[in-house]
Amino acid sequence: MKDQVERKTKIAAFVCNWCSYAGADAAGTSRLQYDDGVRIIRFPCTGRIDPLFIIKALEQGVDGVLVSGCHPGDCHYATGNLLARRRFNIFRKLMLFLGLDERRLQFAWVSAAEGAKWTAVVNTVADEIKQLSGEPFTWATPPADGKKAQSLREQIAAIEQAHRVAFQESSIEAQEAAMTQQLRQQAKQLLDASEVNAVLGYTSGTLPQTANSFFALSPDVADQLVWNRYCQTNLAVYLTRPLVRKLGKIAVVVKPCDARAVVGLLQEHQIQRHEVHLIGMVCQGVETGGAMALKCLSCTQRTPTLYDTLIGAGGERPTASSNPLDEIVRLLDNASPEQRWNFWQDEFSRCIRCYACRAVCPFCYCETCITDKHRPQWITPSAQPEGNTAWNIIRAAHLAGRCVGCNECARVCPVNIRLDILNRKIAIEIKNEFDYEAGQSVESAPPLATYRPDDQQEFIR
Amino acid sequence: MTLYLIQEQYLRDWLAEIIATGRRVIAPQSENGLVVYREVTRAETIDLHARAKPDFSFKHILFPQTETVFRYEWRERRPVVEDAAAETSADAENASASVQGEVVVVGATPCDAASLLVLDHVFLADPPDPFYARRRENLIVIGRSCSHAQPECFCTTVGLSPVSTQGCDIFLMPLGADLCDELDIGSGFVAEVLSEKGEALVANVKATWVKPNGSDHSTWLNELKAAHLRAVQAEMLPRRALTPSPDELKKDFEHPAWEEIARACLSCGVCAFVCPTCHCYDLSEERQGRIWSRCRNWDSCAFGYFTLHASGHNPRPTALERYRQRVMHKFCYFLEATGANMCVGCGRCVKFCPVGLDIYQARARWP
Repeated sequence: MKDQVERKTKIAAFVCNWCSYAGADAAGTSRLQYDDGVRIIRFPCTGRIDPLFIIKALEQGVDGVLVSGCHPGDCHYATGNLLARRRFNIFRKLMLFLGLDERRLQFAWVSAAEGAKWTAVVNTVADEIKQLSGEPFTWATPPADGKKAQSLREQIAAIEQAHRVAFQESSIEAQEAAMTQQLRQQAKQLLDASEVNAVLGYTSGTLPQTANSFFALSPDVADQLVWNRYCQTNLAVYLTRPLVRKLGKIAVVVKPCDARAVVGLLQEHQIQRHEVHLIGMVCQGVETGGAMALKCLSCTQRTPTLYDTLIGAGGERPTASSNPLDEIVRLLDNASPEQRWNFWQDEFSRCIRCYACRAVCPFCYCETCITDKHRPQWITPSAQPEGNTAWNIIRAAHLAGRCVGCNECARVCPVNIRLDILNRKIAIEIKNEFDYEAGQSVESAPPLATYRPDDQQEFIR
Repeated sequence: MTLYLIQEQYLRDWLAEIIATGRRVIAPQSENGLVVYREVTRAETIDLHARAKPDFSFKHILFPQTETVFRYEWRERRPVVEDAAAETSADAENASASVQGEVVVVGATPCDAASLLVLDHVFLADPPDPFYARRRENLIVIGRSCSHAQPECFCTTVGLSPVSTQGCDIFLMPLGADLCDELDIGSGFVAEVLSEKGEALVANVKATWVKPNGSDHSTWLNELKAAHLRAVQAEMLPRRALTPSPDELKKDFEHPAWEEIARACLSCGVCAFVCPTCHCYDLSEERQGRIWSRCRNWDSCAFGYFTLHASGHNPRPTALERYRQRVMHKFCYFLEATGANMCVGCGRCVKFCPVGLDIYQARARWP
């Protein structure tokens, strides 16, 4: 043992100033001893502890993170810890889904009087982390040959293959043509009557089997609008763009998933209802790679939740017996954490940081994205495993409870990272924990912007 | 230029020999549902008859997406550059004139090979970029003709073609069955060796590579290329060739059409990242523990912060200015500076654009 120096287990403890920090202080003044690998970082409130801090700590090589704050009801700011509780519940589930060992990310309520509890919590956490392994924790390690993730990928492909549904061209083409006619007419009416300054829809793309975003600014170009199964882009993303805002009131063509995004933007006060006229489309699903998109297979909405005018009516639509994305999530849930970690690291290692996922997301409307900030720099910009992992986690985390499952991010990813699986996992957890589905009602409060006194907190010590 | 006829088997043997000599061989390979240029260790895995062009170009071989320029550590309140030369010299050693340092790209499409002229112009201009220059010196490009067009292809409108050899050291073209019979070589390829690097690479295999009989090969070679071009062009969208007109573009800098075009742009970086000729980069400082790295990363003019000043002022605040810049740089400024478009017509930016913006269409509003 002489030449083998025992490596200290490093734990970052993020604590709130009012309770847990004082609790740690109490432990000190009471001469209680606890593991000296812990480093305490003080925050005004657990509500201020951003998941980014946890990501950064793990990325920089701590073995584990402990987040601690006031007991529910004791918050100095009344509700900070209650909001944090919801956020951390989901964030923790996300991290576990990515394959992080649950012992590395722990939570506790420790009051100012609980010096003894602080000591016990720190010692337990430290012990658990020490059991993990002698090796220092490495944040981002893509499997060297990609083989480790291979079997999961193959199983996912098998699920997708089993659910493959091709469009019946003969039946859908007539319907598309009819809806296109109605849409053009509607657009002309709106533009003629100067009800809107532009109609945002789709036009035939220059490449076969594509449809591009198209702004009709006058009635004479309304005939360029089309409606078909290649109309994939979620046009709600344009509603917050400066060049589009400039146009004033516009009409937007929305599928059910796009309408859910509009609902979300209204909920978050990014747009106002009177600023936009929604042309709702009865949706038959969209096509990617010669088959119906995965998201459409499980979608039960054919008519948008919100619209001003509706185009199209009934018609059969093939639906899958079960939700393929849910099956994929279950498959990953049942894999070992190590398998999951390998899978996701393999996915993230391909990321080229083009931020197309961000660009197409209606909810990524921040003027300055966290990944573009460099003072301090939370997410390293290089397309290397560390920053790629951090970026993909935080993108998913920021959309928790907001993502409406249009899965545009996954569609446009040039390197096919399975962001749709991450989105779905979080949506499932949000539904389980808070009985909430994004984009259904303008009046409801976003789940992570609210709380209930009796929210689940089994994961907190 | 020397011309050879080779049977496919001999071509494969030769590629295997190149790998055996310790050179790194890069060729289009299938990976996670994408076709990308990756190192190959077995010649059999090289697809000599690929229908499609790879999803991404081989730009990353010369100009990696992320590259550490140097590292440093803070010691006693000052940065100590961590043996700045260590990495670069190891690289240099690796890349010194020996064949081990050579990187051979096999099966480069004409568009990807031609993009080297653009990158060379940027990175080898005085003063040359040492990282790029070293890699470029050791790069040998074996191009291949395209036998099929993909929907997004428009190389013939920007002065290239499925049989252009620009940027190649050796150019391969499959011979049709009738021509093989006529020349009596079984199934095979014609190889144009176009540079000294190419000559050096074929120096040892001449026994199996036949020089065609007679002295004038230009006729049948041109015919072969013309036939190739006709076949591929028939698969392309009917598009007129673009005439270099930088003045027209400049004159219309404030034209309202720009806003109309750019309104759909979502300002992501896909177009620049998949473009073989886009070469802008950003420098950033990254920390891992106590070690800092200065990294050079690909950047895109579509990003809002690309031109963001420290004062907060942004000369290109919206997609309008940024998309216009993209088109102007490719078809006006670069053209003025070099006489060539900064676009090889591969169409990847069109294929990958989330909203289907088509740079050809944008440019084609002008002559």
